[in-house]
Amino acid sequence: MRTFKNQFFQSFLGSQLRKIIFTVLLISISSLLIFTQVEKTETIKSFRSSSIGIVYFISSIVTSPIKLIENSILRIDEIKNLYDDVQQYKKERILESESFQELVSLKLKIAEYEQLLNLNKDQEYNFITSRVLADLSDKYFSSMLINIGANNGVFENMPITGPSGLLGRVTEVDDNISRGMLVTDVSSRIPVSVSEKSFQGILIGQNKKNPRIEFIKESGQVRIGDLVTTSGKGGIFPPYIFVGQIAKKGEGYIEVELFEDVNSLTHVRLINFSNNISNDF
Amino acid sequence: MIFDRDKKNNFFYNDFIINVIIFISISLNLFSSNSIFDFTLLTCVIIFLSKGSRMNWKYPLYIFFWGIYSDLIISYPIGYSSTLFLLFLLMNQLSNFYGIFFLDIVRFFILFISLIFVFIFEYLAVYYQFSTNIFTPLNLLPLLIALIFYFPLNYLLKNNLKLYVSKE
Repeated sequence: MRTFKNQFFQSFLGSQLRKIIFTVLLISISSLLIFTQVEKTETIKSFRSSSIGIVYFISSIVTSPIKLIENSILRIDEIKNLYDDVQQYKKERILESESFQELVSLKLKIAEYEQLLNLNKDQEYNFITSRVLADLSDKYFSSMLINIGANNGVFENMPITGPSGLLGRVTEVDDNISRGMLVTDVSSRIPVSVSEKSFQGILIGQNKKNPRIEFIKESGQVRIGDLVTTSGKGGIFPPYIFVGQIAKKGEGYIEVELFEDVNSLTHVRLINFSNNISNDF
Repeated sequence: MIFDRDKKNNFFYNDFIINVIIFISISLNLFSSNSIFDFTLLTCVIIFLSKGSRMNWKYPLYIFFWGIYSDLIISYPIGYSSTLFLLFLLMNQLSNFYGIFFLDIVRFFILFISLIFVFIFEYLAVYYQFSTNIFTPLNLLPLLIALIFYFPLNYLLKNNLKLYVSKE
C-alpha cells in the first residue's frame, strides 16, 4: 500500500514538474523574443502587417455583440452632442463670420509677402480620409486601426491628423487595414516648433493625455498657451500642422495639451506627404 | 459528441471552453477604449484561475500562442503577452504544486503580488528603454479592477462552470 502511494505520488510529482519545466521553457522563449526584438526583423514585420486584417476580422466577429451595445450607447451620446453643437454654433455664428473674414485677409497678405520675398512655395499635399476601426490609445503602446491600407495608397510613416491637429503616423500597412502609432505612445518622437519664435524641440509620448517637449534650448522663454506645431524636420511630417498648446511647465519638462482627442474621433485624415523619406523616428 | 462529459472527452471539453474564454477576453482588447479595463490583465486573472495545472502539457503551448495573438492585436513587442500569461500560469501551477489551491486568500495574495511585480517590471522596462516616467495613480486602476474581478471570476469558474478550479 505504501509502495503504491509512493509510486502515485512520484508519478504525480513527475508529471506536475514536467509541466512546470515546460512552462518555464516557454517563458524563456517568450522573453527571448522580447529581448531580441524579433518584431523588428523584416520577415516578422511583414507577417505582422499582413496579419492585421485577419486578426481584426476574427476579433470583430467574436466581439460583435459587445460592439453593438457599445455603438448604441455611443449613438445616443452623439445625438446629445449634436444638439449641444447646434446650440453652440447658433451662438458663435456671427463671431465665426468675422474670424473667417480675418483669416482670408491674412492669407492674402501672406501670399503677397511671399511673392515680394520671392519664396519657394511649400510642397502641396492632399489627404485620404479613413474611419477609425479600433482605438488602443490607453495602452503603453498607443495605436489605432484604420480601415484603409496599401490598396488605397497608404504607406508607412504617413502622418495622421484629425480635424483640429496631429494624431500620429502610420506604422503597419496591410492591404485594407493599417495601424497608426499615436503621439501619446511612449516610443513616439516628433520634431516640433513652439510659439511664433519657432523654438525647436522633440515631442515625446508619455502614455498620458499630455505628451512632453524635450531638448528645447530656450525652455525659459516658452510660455503657457504657446502654440505647438510640427517643424517639418526629418521629412516625415509636413511643417505647420497644429499639435497643441503648452499646458504646463515644470522642473525640466514642458507639457503639451493636444488639440485632438482620439477617443472622440470616428474619422481621421492621412496626409499624402511625399517628402516622407526618413525612418529615424 | 464534443460536449460529452465523460472522462475521455473531459480534457477536450475543458481545453475548448477555457481557450474560447481566453480568445474572447483577448479580442475584447480591440474594443476597449478606456483606461479602466485592461483585458490583458483580466486574461491573466482567468489564466491564474484556470485549471491549467491539471490539463495536458499542451495548455502552456496554447497560452503561448494566445500571447502572440494578443501582441498582434495591441501592437506590443512580440513575446510580451506570452511572457505575462505564462508567468500567471506558472504561479497557478506552483500554487497547485505546493498544495495551497484551496486557500482562496493565499491565492488572492499570490495574484496581488504577481500583479504588483508585473506593474513594477513594466514601469522599469518603459523607464529604461524610453527614458519615460509613466507612473500615474490612474495606471494602478486596471490593476485594481483585475484584482476586484478575481472574486466574481473565481466564483463563476468554481461554482457555475465547475471546470477550472479543482476541488478534489
